[in-house]
Amino acid sequence: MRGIVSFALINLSREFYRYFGILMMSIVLIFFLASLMFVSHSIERQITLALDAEPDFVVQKLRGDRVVPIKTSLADALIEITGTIKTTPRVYGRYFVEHGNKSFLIIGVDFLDEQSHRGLEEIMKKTDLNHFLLDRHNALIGQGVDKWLNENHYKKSFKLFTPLGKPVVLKRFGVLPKNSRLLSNDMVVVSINTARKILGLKRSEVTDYTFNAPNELEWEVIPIKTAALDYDLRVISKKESKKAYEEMFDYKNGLFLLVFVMTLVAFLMIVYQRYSQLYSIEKRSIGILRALGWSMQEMLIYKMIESFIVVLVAYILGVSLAYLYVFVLKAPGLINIFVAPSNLDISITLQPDIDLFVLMSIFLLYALPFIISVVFPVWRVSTTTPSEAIR
Amino acid sequence: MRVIIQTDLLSRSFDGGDSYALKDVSLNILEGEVVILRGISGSGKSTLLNLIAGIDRPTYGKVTVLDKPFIKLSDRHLSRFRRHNIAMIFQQFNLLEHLSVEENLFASIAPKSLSLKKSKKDIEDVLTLAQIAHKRDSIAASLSGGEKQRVAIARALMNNPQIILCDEPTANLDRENSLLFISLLEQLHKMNKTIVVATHDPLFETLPFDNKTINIKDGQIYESDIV
Repeated sequence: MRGIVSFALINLSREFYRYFGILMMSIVLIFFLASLMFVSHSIERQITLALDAEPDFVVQKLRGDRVVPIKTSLADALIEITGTIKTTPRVYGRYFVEHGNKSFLIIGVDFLDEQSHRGLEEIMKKTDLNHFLLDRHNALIGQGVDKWLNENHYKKSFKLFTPLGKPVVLKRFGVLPKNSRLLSNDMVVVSINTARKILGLKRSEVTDYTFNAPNELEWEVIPIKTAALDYDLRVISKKESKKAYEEMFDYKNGLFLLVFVMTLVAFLMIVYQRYSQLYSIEKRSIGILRALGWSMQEMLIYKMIESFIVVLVAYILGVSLAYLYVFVLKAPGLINIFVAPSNLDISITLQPDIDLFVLMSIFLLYALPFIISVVFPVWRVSTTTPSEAIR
Repeated sequence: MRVIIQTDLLSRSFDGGDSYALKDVSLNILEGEVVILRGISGSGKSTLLNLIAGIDRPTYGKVTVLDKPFIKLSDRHLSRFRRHNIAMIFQQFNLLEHLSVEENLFASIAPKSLSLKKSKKDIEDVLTLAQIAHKRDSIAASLSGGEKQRVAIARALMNNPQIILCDEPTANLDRENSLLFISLLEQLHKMNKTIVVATHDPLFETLPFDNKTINIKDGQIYESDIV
């Protein structure tokens, strides 16, 4: 085997120019596939982490399939449902700027109450609440909002308007952490009453209620119990939200994978075509080696090693370039396909988070079909007699 | 003396059996013999050599080399057997043109996975014997016909085979190189190699060493020194 490996390396180094085209195409394909997998894996992981911080259940009121405010009087009934904790009222909604082209997500929080949203809980722990609560106009803002305000020269405070046109001045108290950017990018977190004012809700109304249910065995029963409280309540579990995100990513991934597979098939057809109509010089080389005493098996091992080396070099280069593109250059172009570009510019920190399965998948998706498409035609030539191959 | 090569009613047809390149050839070649196969182009000399080398398959008949009937050997065993016992020198040299001389020689021992030291020594020995050591790093494509032939001889000797088969070895050489080839053949004969040469070069009619002649015409032996 050692001798065959050495010979394969010698042959490759001498015939590098013949493999150059295939190597380049391989690098591009692997780069494309690896970038796609790195981006989607990294975003999915960030979303999973962010969704993990979400409350287990959200209760909304629907009327004519529209979400409408819930009366705070429902709180007592919700608290009574066994197995639930941290029942929290939420007030939130979109506030549009730039003629509706951009929007902030206004989140109203009762800072004195316990929070079912683990993300908000964390934020509150890190926030100097004594200081924050001194002024009901204080606001915590997401990275995207922060950027937008800076661009529009709002230094210390900014003004939003109620539906009746009354101004509400908000003070920039702090910026929400970068690691939650994917979900909190466009958030403006304010006190619950300030949010009510901006969104036009009455004191007795909230947008929805959230709560947690520590015992997952109860997760199937709790929505039924909750929905029974009123005919027009909708209960959304965190699992459903996760599933919706996953489906969205699977859909986008699926589309890309389809494009990749089509490209790969086209490429492999070229490779196969190239090897199945082996140049007479290549057929002759096979015949010569066979005449020198190389068995069919040794020929196949030799060609496998040769194509494996090509694949390995392409893989290492393709994956390294993809790593640089995704995690250093932040995947310009590709990221916008995965993250909706319509709202405030989002600059996601794609964390270098690669698991072995992703790397193995990339390798197997590419290497196996490539090696087979090279070796199969060689096998066909090897089955003829050496004298025929040389002729 | 021991019979090294034996063929029994050996035949090879092409075009679905309509035309025979070789028909019912039976012969015995003894250890250390030099046998010259004579005949015009298309008489079946090369086909006979290819069948003896095991790089072609007979339509019917048997080839037995060193007591091994080829028909019973699997591809793996036949390849290994050929590698160790039979070397062939072709009219067109059949070198891997893109490789250097040294790498061409390495090709014939690569599957054996010898140590680097042993490989280097073996290559050095045959390069010296074939008087081509000074060209070891040259790319095969850049060599002259005479040099390519000497590389082919060196390659044939890499595995120290018992049998050397030469197919029109001087057809592409000038007289000087042809004589050099014959002198190399004499050296191999002295090493007790069994040599079969298919040729119609008149130079082989008066060889300076013992040899036997088989005349082939239309795929059949019509005259032979061999009993």
